[in-house]
Amino acid sequence: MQAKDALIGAMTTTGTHLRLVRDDELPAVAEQPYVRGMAGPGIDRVSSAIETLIARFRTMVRSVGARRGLVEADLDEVLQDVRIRLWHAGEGGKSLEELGSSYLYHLASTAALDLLRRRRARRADDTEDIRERTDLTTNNASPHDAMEARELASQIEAAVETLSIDRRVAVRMHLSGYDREDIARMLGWTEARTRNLLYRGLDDLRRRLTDMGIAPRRTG
Amino acid sequence: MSPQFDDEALRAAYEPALRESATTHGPDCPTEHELLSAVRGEGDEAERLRVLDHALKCPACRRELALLHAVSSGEKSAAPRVVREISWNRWPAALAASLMLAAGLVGVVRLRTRGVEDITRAGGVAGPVLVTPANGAAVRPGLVRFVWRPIPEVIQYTLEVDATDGTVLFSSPTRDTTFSASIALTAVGENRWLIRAKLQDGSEKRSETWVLKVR
Repeated sequence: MQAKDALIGAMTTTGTHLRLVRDDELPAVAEQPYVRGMAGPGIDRVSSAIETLIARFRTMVRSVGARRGLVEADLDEVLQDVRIRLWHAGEGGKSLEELGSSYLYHLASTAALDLLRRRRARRADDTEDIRERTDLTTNNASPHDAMEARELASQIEAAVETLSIDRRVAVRMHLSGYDREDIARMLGWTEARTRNLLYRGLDDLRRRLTDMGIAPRRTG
Repeated sequence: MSPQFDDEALRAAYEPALRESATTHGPDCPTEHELLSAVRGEGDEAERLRVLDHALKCPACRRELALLHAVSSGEKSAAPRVVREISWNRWPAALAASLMLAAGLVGVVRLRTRGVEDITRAGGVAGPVLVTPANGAAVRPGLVRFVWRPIPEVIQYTLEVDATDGTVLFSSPTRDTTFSASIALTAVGENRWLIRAKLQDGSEKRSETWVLKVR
């Protein structure tokens, strides 16, 4: 990522288009049209526009991913790539008619795929910074309570595993924070089918848990 | 007879299973392209079921699935548009327009899908209608009274106040159609509120989402 930062470390304006240049492509003595770093009113304006766009896009994506296990560090890495790709689009002299919101989503999907491919290829990402997790919440559960909670979750998981595959996937998606629109879209189901499979799956799951003698923990 | 889990209790009890974090893939893990295809609803159903069935229980795949879903879920709704040729020197204005379009599209799509859902779920009856605080109203931190209109066959309403990034700031079930919620200082800014209604047949209906500014 640092190499990419270096790539956008220097830019030049050529007429109405922006062109990216690497540091080693710059003339020995900086000439007028070249601007090092993010200095200069034109660069500032474009940079500011991109940052605004990225910030708004980030908010939208976070709102989608917040309850579904999105790891914030992953999103930041993707957006850094999107930022660079936006500058590259400028390098190609593309007009804004190609940079609508669909283009932004396309860039983000491509960047996410590239990120996952790189990670899997190097297989070095086998540790995780606890600060990366967005879904970690501070609670005052004692180690015993935490262990009981994990045990209950694993019992529910075991009960889910006994469901038929269509109900199982619908229930797992529901429990993982995906809504019915997500389930219907990903599985190509109608809303009615999604609703039926989900609620039948949840009913099956409750019956299984009752059969297993598993009940909600009393609170208070 | 032991009590059964309701939906919220079930989700809460399952939550520790989602906290497992690992990034090492096994031989059964789908490729990143298979995950993206599943997110996009591409390919045959059996394959999508296989991929999602694995991805949702595998911590490494689940994290990837969440990322791919988050960055691509607006892809189809954000349709390409035609705009006049604009030079790169006019990026700020043009990008602002693009942003407004994107935000507008998301808003429209959400409203449209919610509308369809409400009709389907309710058999022609609309979801709860919000009354107060008015859409866009500004309140101060502290006790805020929320009011909505009742709908038939309801077991329970849930009041939910969300930050603009989707974080749930407040959520509480009630059988009444009014609720006084304590809005914390941390909620200062623009938020959203809505009512989810759980019906006797197990389905759920949602109200519109209104803006609530906390100052």
